[in-house]
Amino acid sequence: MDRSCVSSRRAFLAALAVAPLSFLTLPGNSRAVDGQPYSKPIPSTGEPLPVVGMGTWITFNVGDDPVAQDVRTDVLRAFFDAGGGMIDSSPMYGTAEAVVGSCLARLDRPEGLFSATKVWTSSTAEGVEQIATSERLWGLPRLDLLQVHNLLNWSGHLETLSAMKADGEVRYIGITTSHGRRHAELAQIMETQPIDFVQLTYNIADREAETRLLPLAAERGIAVIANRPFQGGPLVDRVKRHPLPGWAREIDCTAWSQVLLKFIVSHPAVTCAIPATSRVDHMEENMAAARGAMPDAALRRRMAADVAAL
Amino acid sequence: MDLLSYSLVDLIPFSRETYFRLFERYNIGVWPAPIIGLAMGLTALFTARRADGWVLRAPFLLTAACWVWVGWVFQIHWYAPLSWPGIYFGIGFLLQGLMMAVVLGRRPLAGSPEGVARDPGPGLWILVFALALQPLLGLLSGRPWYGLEVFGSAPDPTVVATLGFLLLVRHPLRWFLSIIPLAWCLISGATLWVLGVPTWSVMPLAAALYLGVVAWPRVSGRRQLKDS
Repeated sequence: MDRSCVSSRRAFLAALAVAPLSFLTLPGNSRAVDGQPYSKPIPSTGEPLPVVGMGTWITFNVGDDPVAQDVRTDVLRAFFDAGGGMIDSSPMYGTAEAVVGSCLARLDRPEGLFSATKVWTSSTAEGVEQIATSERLWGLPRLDLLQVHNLLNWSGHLETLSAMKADGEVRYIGITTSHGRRHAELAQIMETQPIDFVQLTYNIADREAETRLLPLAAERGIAVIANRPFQGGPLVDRVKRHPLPGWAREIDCTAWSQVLLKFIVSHPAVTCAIPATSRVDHMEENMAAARGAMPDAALRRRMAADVAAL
Repeated sequence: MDLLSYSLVDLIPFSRETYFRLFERYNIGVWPAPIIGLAMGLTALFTARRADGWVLRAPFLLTAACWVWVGWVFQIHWYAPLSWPGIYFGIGFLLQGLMMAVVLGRRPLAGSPEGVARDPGPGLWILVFALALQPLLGLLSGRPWYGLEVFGSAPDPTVVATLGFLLLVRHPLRWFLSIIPLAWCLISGATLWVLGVPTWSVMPLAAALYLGVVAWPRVSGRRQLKDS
């Protein structure tokens, strides 16, 4: 590990230690003056990543339906126009990888793409073939991030991914879980394995990760991708029946989705959130959450309490 | 595969819109298969009753062919790319088609009173529902006519019609032939429930009705014995 990474990690941990802090005082967090979204550094390299990415579960699994693919291309265009970068997918998501690849080709492979997918099979040998298939479907010679999906055969796949990283065939490696599954085992992997990223479920209603996993990620210098920011839809459907609280204006939110996303990405240990949508207007709304004021620790506590009381 | 760590929602990685669009694209893609399938179903229904009794071998063979088509074409080639369990569903449908062809196609059901249900009414009503009414339920969900699911090419009406045909026979292997159709009723009902389709309960209700009709003579027979 180079010295700059160690220094960046130390500064990050030091910042965590003096929390509560406002979002922008965290080292490496940036808001560019030209209207780009906030970004946070990937702890292992310092490379900035926009705090709002894009998931593809359900939304991009539309097969070779040309009508639906047109709409998804528009969604991706809106994502990149708003400064988006990370797209996360998986072989488990049906045709999502193929659709993402097709839409990226139509957009002439936009700059700023950070491609993240997973390996999802119980066979280590099959995992190698699956990764090659993913690269073909995305239309990329090399993916940025490869993750072991839902801890499935994680030891076998991590060996493969580590070797690929050493050979420069992938830039980052990681492991994922969702719905709060197997957190104890995940923590063990985070403590013992040299991974760059961990992906887990974290949102204003599902905060189990705050007690162990997020502090551990900060301590170990592991980037955190928060999945299911809206609990797959029901969370935002539930809260949007209520008017936005007064404090939403303080953090420049005009929609509940932005409140929910800002809560997630303002946690010091979270690198980015990956909401999924099949609508351009929702994508624009989500990406607006990567701009404007962010809640500090005190407001985050109030946000969680107010949403729990709804 | 660590299946136990997955919930029902994890196994349905598409939206209601995508599911409905699947049938629209499928019906157009395999055209005129939906019309041929429906014609086969109506033929099976109308040829089942002959002047000299029930002739069920041909209807069963037609229905078995439809299971093979739905398994191979719909489940494996159209549905499975969207959802990985589709491969297993396809294998199940192929297996059911082969079992029906072998078990019921070989047995002489034509005009044999011992092989035909005493009261064909419930089976016929279920058949009429599957062939004529069930496809129209899609309209209640706002689907276009060319996206409707019909007997012979789509799984749900094919399965319900099969339950209707099974109610027309008395066969020692009827329970055996009911397992996959009943399982599909639960799978389809669960899928539609997760997708929020208002008519999700139709398939589980069809299964419950089938089980009720099959069980009723035994229940009423025991009661009569007790009363006497």
